Amino acid sequence: MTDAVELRGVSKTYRPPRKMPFLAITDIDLAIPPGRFVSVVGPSGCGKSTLLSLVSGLLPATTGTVTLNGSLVTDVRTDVGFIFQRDALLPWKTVSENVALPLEFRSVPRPEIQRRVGEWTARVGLGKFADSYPHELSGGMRKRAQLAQVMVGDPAVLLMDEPFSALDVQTRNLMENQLMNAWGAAGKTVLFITHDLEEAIALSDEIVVMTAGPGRIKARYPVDLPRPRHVTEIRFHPEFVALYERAWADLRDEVTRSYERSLEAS
Amino acid sequence: MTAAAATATTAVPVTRRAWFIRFLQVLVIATFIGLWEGLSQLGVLDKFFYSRPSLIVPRIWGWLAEGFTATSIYRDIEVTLIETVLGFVIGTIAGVVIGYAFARNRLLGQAFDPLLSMFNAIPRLVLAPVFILAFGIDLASKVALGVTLVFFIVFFATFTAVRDVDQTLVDNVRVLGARRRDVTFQVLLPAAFSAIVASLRTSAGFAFAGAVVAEYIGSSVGVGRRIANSEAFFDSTGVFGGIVVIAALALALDAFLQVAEGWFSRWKPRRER
Repeated sequence: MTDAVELRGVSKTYRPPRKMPFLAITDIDLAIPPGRFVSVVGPSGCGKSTLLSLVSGLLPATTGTVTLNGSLVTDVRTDVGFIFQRDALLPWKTVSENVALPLEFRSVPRPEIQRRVGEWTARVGLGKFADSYPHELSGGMRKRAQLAQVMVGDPAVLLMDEPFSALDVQTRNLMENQLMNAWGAAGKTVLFITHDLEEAIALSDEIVVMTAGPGRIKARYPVDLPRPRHVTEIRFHPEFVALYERAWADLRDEVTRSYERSLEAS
Repeated sequence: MTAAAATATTAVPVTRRAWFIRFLQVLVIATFIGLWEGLSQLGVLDKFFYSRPSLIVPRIWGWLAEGFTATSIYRDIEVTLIETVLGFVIGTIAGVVIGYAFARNRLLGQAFDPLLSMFNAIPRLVLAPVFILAFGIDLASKVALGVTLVFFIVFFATFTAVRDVDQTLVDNVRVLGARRRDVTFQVLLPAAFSAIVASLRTSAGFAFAGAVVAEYIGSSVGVGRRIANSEAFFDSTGVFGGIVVIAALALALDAFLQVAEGWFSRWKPRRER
């Protein structure tokens, strides 16, 4: 079976106007089989988010090839779902108008749009808020609306860029559990970016630790914890603790290095 | 929710305070008019130059009672408002189209930047005589002045809004399947629209000012013409009467636009409206 996501020898150099070009990520080789939940952890500035931009085609890779669902990524791909770290809902549209967007872009017939939008707003628990504007919702509700907006188009691959980092701990755990339930039911491939090692282990089938920038893959750890998981309780599992200690040893060095570099730069 | 809770617990003092403020506002206006009238009666203010409220009010009443004729105040108001609306609409359309084009095409923006800055630096009211020479004393010259005033406000509002639109919003809709056209109509123009609505009251006010000033300088009809006519006869009561009519129109226009702005901004958090 072909991999859902495949990166071969990928690097990305940013060339901002009137500034020094800089290498964000390099030598990335990563293959994700369909249905697998993979998390990428690394210190800030290691190019984690760049990975998602390359897979979605929002940015072109400088070297190497990116393949998605068996075809080469050359332009923006609409067969992925991208959950951005920042608020991405259109503030002048209501929740249901926002969720309807991907279906309208695909010219889905009106009654079907209404049915699917109703179904997904209800599934993320926003049925009562369908006619609310984003600013009227809490941060967690906006994230759920974003999730509904992405899922309504039924993408095979989900790209998530620190989706829960702006939420408080309780809301965050709630959202992680909801994501686990939705993912378990839908069997989608997920590439999840986070700086939180605990979150990465609790959710994933595999975690990828990246080095301080320019980001390289430092280590990969399969996560053989039982499913279905409860993300709060799994943290007490002995294997979780053992894996956490091993991965943290890798990550700690990179975080320190990244921190020292930021001091030198300032 | 919080507002409702606040009213529930502090309803009486809030209303009482609101009434007190309203009372103070009326008091300030009454004092102003009273001082004007009193100082004029005492001869401190020369009636010839400053007229007095007791002359102005009957004058305006007389205008209003005149009925609908070709020279009535109603005809003046109608013409001034038509000029205002045309100046506003044409200026806004031009501002949006060109502002959008410049924001999307960097080379175009860079090429025209010095010329636009130059035009923007000119106090536009001095263009009134130019427009009257070029377009005559009728409608066109008044509209042209309004357009130059409105255009720059809307142009800069659109340009900045489109250029600074949150890239996350654009990236998000692109991955959701938006074509170029969808990005324009679903993200960029709505973002610009919100900036235009925010500048609506300023730009409409300028369209109105442009119409009145151009009428004052050269026209055969309009509220500005009425003031110029009175001035020619050293009729200060007529001048002030015209000013009061203009102030009333401007207030009415602004109140209407405030309602429109509220309706178009209903998606925004209250503190940002």
